[in-house]
Amino acid sequence: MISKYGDYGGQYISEILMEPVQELERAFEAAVTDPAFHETLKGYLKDYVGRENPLTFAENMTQSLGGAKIYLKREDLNHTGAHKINNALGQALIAKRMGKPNVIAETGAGQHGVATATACALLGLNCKIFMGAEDMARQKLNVFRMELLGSEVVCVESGSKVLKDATNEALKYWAAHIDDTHYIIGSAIGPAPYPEIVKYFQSVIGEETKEQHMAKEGRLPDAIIACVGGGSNAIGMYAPFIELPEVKLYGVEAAGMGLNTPEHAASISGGRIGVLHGTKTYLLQDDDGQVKEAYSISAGLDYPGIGPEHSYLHDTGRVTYVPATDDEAVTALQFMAKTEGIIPALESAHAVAYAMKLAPMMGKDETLVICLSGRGDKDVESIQRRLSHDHTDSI
Amino acid sequence: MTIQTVFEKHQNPLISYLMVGDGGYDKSLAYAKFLIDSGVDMLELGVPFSDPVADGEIILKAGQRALKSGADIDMVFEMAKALNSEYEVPLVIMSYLNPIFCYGYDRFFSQMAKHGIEAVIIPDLPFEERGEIESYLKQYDVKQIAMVALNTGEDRLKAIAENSSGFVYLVAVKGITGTQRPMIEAVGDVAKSIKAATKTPVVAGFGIKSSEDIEAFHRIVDGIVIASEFIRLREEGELDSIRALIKTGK
Repeated sequence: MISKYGDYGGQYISEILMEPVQELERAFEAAVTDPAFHETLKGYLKDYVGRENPLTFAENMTQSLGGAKIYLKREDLNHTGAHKINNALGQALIAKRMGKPNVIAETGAGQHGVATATACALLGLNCKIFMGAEDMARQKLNVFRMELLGSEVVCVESGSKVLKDATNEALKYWAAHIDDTHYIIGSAIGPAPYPEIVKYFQSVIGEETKEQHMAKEGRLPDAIIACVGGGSNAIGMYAPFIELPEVKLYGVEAAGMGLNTPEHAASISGGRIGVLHGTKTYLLQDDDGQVKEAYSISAGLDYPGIGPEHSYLHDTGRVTYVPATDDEAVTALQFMAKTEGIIPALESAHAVAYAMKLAPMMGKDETLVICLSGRGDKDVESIQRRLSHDHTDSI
Repeated sequence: MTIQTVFEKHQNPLISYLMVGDGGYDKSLAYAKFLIDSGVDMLELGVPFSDPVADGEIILKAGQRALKSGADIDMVFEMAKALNSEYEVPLVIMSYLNPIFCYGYDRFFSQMAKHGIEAVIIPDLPFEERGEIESYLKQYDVKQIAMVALNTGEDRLKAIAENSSGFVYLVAVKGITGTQRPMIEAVGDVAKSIKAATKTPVVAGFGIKSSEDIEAFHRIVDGIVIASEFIRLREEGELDSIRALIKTGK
């Protein structure tokens, strides 16, 4: 299995985790060559997740922006409302194959936590979700959702009490419970083989998109845009297109309050190479290699690193990574809600924000696919707060 | 004195650890001197890191205090220089990979050589990733202390042991520093496997707290590391208890 992408990736983990990640690698390789596993996964994706989801032609947005034909890959229509379930379900099935009755996961906004809790409820696995105390306070409803689904939410009080600290604690807990516990990492990050596993289970996004676009347009799309935090929806969307250079690929990082401020989450546009959570990749860090806290209005992009393959795709120039600020994402969310009647997740709204810049520069005969990685219901309250605040400010 | 002479001279050397800069530079230097004066045979100088995934609360918090006081790798070298001017006890640096990577490998290992620091322990740089620093270790004649866990498989254990130098660090718990009780029987079994593959001394660490622990480990390994427990005792002002434990270890 691939463990490095150029100089990125690898297995920078403590010795005690080496055997479990190697066991996971063996279990994963056995699963993906087993037709019965594919049948089971396919069955759940169809009848439980609701795949395939549509590739929607966004006619109003297309007209309004006056350039490329815009299509939306509708991961927001999946069960639990985002792409996270694709990976959570796949890895939960792997945990079952390994005979591990317990599952742990980290979560920031709670989306991966909810997806993992859901998969564990479905498959009868015990589930513990590690979540920073700060994030728990900000995302109370998702904490309750996870508990309703039968999971235990472990409050992480160490460090800065956010996603990176929850990941640290999950890794530590895993080190102490490796015999009966599988760790479902939620993004395309972590030590090998995690980035490959997450890419594998998320590549259904790109595979469906390719087929659907072929059926509608008789050819490949000209450009694809996805938001990137850790980068799981993006790498899944890119997967079948990476070797097809005629398809332009864009990744949109969260620029928060702006790249010229410390308040952002843009690891590639505003970070440097480093090693965190088992992988070598672009990181937000200070000169001494101390990892910084990331910031974005969208909690799902609020991670100081990025999947190692993205770092590689950036260096090789195959994917163009661009920033979008909080303001741009909120404007994009409102634009899409009003023109298409779809409220995107704040994460996905970053991709929409760049589409609003790119589409008008493209020809009317060209097509542009946006990966709509999740729905915005979870963000409605914070958008309301922000917009009413802006309103008060202007008075 | 070299690491090798420590194992030749002492039946059961005791190694301790301190987080450089915990309490500020002056206080942590004083603590280092206290440990050596109390009889510690080798000292690990810890580099603080924001995300120490192999460490429990005690070392994590010590690292946060050290970072607040402005500790960095240069402070570690400064302390090494100060200690080397007074003592012969060998020093080892313990650091996660990222601070070293950001400092620059060439700069870091040349500084190690310059300060006569013989070895480095990097808990998140396993055998499979040794290529990361291998050429620098050779160039500057610095050792990387290998780590073995209780679940390390037979083939990997053999490869790790055969390539080891200085000492082999055997992690005595299934988990992280300063939290669980050490698994003495399992440690004994793994120590035997390591010894079958190498002459490098085997040192156990993680979770060692009491004089009973120390005596039990003396029977199965060549040396022990006490880190978190001493940091905890120092926090509580119990320096006498530290001194007493070091004495038991002799």
